[in-house]
Parts: sequence; C-alpha cells; structure tokens
Amino acid sequence: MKILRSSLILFNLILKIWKKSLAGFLDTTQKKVQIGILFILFFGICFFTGYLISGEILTLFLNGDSRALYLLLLSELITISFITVMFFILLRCLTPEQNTITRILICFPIKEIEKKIGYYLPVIINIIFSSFLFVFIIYIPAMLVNKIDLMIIFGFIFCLLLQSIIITLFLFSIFNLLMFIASKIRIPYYKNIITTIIVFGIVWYHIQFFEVYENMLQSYSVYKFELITITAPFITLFSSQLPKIECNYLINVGFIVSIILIFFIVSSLSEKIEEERLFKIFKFIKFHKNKIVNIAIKEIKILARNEEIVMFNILACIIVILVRKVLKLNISNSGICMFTGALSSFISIYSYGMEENLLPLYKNLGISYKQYTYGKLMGNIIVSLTIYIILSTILFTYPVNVFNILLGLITSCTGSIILYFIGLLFPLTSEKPFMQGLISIGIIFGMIPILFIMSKLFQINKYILYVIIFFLMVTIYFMIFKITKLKWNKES
Amino acid sequence: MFKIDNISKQYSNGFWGIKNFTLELSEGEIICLSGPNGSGKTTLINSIFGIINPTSGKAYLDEFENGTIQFKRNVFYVPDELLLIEALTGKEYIDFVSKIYIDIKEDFKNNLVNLFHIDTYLNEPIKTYSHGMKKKIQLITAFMVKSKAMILDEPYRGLDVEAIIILKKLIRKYVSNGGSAIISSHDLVSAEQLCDRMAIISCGSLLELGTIEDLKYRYQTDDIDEVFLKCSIKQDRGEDIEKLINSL
Repeated sequence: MKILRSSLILFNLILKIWKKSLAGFLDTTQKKVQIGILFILFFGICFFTGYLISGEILTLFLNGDSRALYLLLLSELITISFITVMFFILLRCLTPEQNTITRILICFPIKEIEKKIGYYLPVIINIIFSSFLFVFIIYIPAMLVNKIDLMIIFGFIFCLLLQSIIITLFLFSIFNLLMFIASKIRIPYYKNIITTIIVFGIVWYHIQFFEVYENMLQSYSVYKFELITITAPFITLFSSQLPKIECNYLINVGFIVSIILIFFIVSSLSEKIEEERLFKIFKFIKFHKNKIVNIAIKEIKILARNEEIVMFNILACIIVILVRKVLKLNISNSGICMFTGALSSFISIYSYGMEENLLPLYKNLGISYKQYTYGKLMGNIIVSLTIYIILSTILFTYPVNVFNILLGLITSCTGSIILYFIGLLFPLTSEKPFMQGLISIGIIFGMIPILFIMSKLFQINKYILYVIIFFLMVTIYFMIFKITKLKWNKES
Repeated sequence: MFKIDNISKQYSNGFWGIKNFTLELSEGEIICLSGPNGSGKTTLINSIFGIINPTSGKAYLDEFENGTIQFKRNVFYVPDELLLIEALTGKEYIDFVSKIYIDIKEDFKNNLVNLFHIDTYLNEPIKTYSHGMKKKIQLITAFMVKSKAMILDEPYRGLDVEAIIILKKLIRKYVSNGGSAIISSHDLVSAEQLCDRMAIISCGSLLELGTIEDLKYRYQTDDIDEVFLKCSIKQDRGEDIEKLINSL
C-alpha cells in the first residue's frame, strides 16, 4: 500500500502536468473550437473509413470465408502496433519536464520502483488507451453492425489490448536499457539520440516486415512469429468459427512473459545524472571585427551545438537513407537532391526562436537589426549548405551529377531563407513542443499543394516557375527585414 | 549525528571533483562550507545524495546510510539550481512535496507561506515567478519537512534582504530544535554570523575546519575574508590578483 501511495502521488502529478500543458496550448476559445472540429472530423473520417474497409471483409466472413476475420485481425494488430509506437514517441516528446522531475525525485524519500510505477503508469495507460480507442473506433462498430459473435468481438478486444500493452512494455524496456547504457558511457545528447535510434529501428523493422507481410497473408494457416502480430494466435481461443492456426503457443506466451519480466528488471535500473557532455564543434573558428561576420560565426557555432539540431541531423540522415531505400532513388534523380537540400535547411526554422529572448542583449551591444539579420541569414545558409554537403557525401555513393548537386545547393539556400522566415513568424523553442508539432505538420501539409502547383507550372512553362520563385524569394527577403525591425523596436 | 565519511569523486577525465572528504556534524550545529568556484562543494553534495556516483565514501545520518529511504526522509537538500516543476503553481508544488513527506501540518505550511510573504502568488504557475520567489518556494518546502539535517547550497542567492533575515532566523530555530545544517555559501559575513564552524575547501580537498575564532587565530587575522584568501588561494595567486588589479 505504501508503494502505491507514493506512486499515486506521482501519477497525479504527471496527469496534472499534462493537463496544464494542454490547457496552456488551448488557451483561447478559438483554438478550442478549432481543435474540437478537427477532433470530430478526424474520428468521423476514421470511423467511416474503418466501417468501409472492415465492412467488406466482414461480409466475406459472413458469407463463409472464415479466414477473412483472421486477416482482419492481423491488419488490426499491425495498425495498433504502429499507433502504439506513434503515441509512445509523441508522449516522450511531449513531456519536457521529465528530466527536472527525475532530478527532483532523486533527493526525495521514494524508492526507484515507486518512481518508475508513478512515472510510467500514466504514460503506459495513456498510450494503450489512446491506441485502443483509435483502433476500436475504426473496426469494432462495423463488427457490431454486422452482428459478429460477441465472443469473437471480445477476442478481438483482448488481442488488441494485449498487443498494445506488449508493444508499450517492449518499447519502454528498450528505451530504458539504452538510456542506462548511454548514461554509463556518457554520450552527448543521449536522450535525443536514443529516441532517434528507436524511431529508426521501428521504421526499418516495418519496412522489412511489409516484405514478408504478403507471404504471411497467403499462408495464413501457419503462424509466422512476429512481434507486431504476437497476440494473433490467441483469437482461436475465443471461437470455434475461426480457422485453426498452426502455432506453438508456448513461444508466444514465453515471449510475452519475458517482455513483462524484462520491463520490471530494466525499470529497476537507475541512470545516474553525471556532468553533461556537450559538443564543442567549431571551437577553432575565431570571431571577427565585422559585426555581421561575428553574428554569422556565432550562429554557426550555436546551430552546430544545439541538441535538437544535432538530433535533427541524425534523423535527416535516416530519412534520406529510408527515402532512397523505399523509392529506390539514386544521385541521377534530381528529386533526392532537392529533398536532401530541403531537409538540410530545416534547422533554420529554429534559428530565431532559439534566442528571441536575447534581442535586448544584441541591442545593448550596439548591433542594428540589419546587421543581426544579415549575420543570421549568412550563418543559416552556411550551416544548411554544410549539412547538405555532409549528407550528400555520406549518402551518395553513386557517380556525382553536377547539375543535380547544384540543384540541391540552391534548394538548401532558398529553403534556409524560407524556413528562417517561418521561424520568425512562429518562433519555436524546445519549451513549446505542441507548437513545434503543429508547425511541422503544417509545413508537411502545406508543402503538398505547393509542390503540386509547382510541378503543374513546371510542366506548362518552367520559366514562369523560376520567375515566380524569384519574386517570392525577394518578397520573403524583404519581409524578414521588415518583421525583424518590428520585433527589434518592440524590445526596448 | 550527520557524518560524511571519506567521500571522493573522480571524473572520467581523471579530475578529482572531491577527494577524501570527511566531516562530522553534531545535533544543533551549523557548518558553513566555503570555497572558490569549482572547488567541489556541489560535487560533494551531489555525491551525498547519489545525484552523481561517488568514487568512494559514504554519508550517514545516525545509522542510516546515504541512498536509503530513511536517510532521504531525514536529510533535506535545497539545491542552488532552481529545480522546480514549473508547470505547477507554487501551492501545487508545496502540496506535492508535503504529500511525499506525509505528516506535515497544514498550519505549519501556511505559516511558512505567510512568513515568506508569497501567499498572493501561490496560485500562479511557478514559471511566472522571479528568481527570488522560486527560491522561497524551495525554502518553504525545506522547512516544512521535519528533517533532522539540512544541506543548503547557496541559499541566499536571489533573495531580498527581508527574506535573507527570515531565512537566518529560520535556520537558527531549526537547529535550536535539534536539527543540523550545512550551508554551502560564498557569503562569509553571513557565515560568520550564523555558523558554528567553517569548512574551507579548495581543489576538491578540505583545507581547514574549525570555529571562526579558531580560523582567525590560526591565520593571525580578524577578518574572515582574509582567512579565506590565505587558506583557499595560494600565495602566488594572491600576488597575481594584486598585480592584475593594479594593471587595470
């Protein structure tokens, strides 16, 4: 009971922090209404699409094809595994105060296991509940409408819930184990790097998995062991209407029990907080008498040493590798060069927000807003180009096509200016994870119609496109100075 | 009795953050831990609380070893860093700590809040507080917990004059009730007023330990600043300081 008491206090604390973060995000009625509408639309679409997809499969089942239901379960398990991973990563990113809480709790009279239960329980419940709710809305209504046997529905719910729990515990175990090892060998920025490695591992696993997925569907009667469908064979325990599956249940049960045990063992490991190791990259670059050059050098140093940007670059490498693998692209494809160029410029979105609070300092140092902006843009372009060159060197193993490389360099430069402009309009800091998420989603969705219009224009007349891009860039360039001036004057 | 027994911490680059540090603190005693920046004060405290892994050594409160729940329940630490959960309001944070430590009377808590005069801001998020207000929240939680020993790292930093006076009175009251305190501070004047003994530490080693009067006698001076300079800073460094100041 004592353990539960301390854990419950922490449990409440975490819920309170989430509630406050959400309330801080939904601080106006307008935002609440917008998010409410989005929420209803999102679930409405999920419900409708789910009804259409599963409705057809269920009709097959009702017409006597007993394997249809098993195939439906397999696809549901894969979906819930995917969604669980997404929620896991999302919640890890959206709990920025975790480090502070861990440090505060070290000196408090709470046992390691109490801390872990209190800290992980709300996260685990949240991940499982959200994932389950999502899948439940997509699939279960269609089953109810089609009057599927209640035992089968219950079996589906059991398998889905168990699958989500297993994936969550597995991810936590891997994450904690890597954190423990990394804290021992003292890698700089290890938390972010580990999150990135996990994301990469999961995406890689799924890509590999889809290659065997079709075979799995064809030979459905023989269960092939896979973590993301580990609970599938248990469905046969709920109804005799379902086909028999050849499976060694002991392996699956043994694996599930092992994951649970490993989770508890790994949870009792506590990582010590040692002195922080930070990158001192570009230490050799000396500052200059010219103020603009000075700001550019400062910008290069801080961008190269920023934790999130370092993580982003690792992620960028992974994305480029994956894009090349999935789309089977090489250097002769201009798309991959432009994509790498655009990716390398993404860091510029953080540039302004990272040190918005330092504007008064620059003013006190006698720097004008023009010098500040020129320096910032120069620094951002140099860093973006450097990242582009590094990414290209690491990832392009094919003979170099000069025109495509040049195209990538231009994309990197223009992308850097555009993203600096967006970052100026919506300053991003690591303390605003919701804002970061929204802006990132906004950029991704915004890019789709822009790229569509661009490709159409390119097909009609590419010179019109060049002229439009040129005028757009000039407008953005002047807007950057105009907005910086406004912000500069406000900070007095 | 609170005892630090031979604590050492060597970092991976071979640097000794603290070396063979031993100290005993009686009930009702206040010791000031003083030393230049980077001398190892915070490393020592972090080693005591297991925030970092000491290379060797232990700390004890009576029979309880550091790292045990009983030790943590009876030794409270106020870090120099403003480690608070900023999404919570001041009241919520105080309630959170009081629930962890169980038997804390509501009146006692309210009196401390009134004493530090922050009742008006208590329902605002900590994120909006000034440095001094955050420090006050840390101190309220420290004194509301019925601990037997307390370690305060730079407790005066950021506090206004009134709060500093209140804090000194509170520390006196705390030790008069049988508590012991280690105050890590650069404020030598306050140390002289408040502490029974002073420990001077430099380059990770304990250089001097004694009452203020003893230390003054040992270094043949009436000025505590001079004791500190003579003890913690090497003679040639002292001459360098003079030369550099004169050259400005």
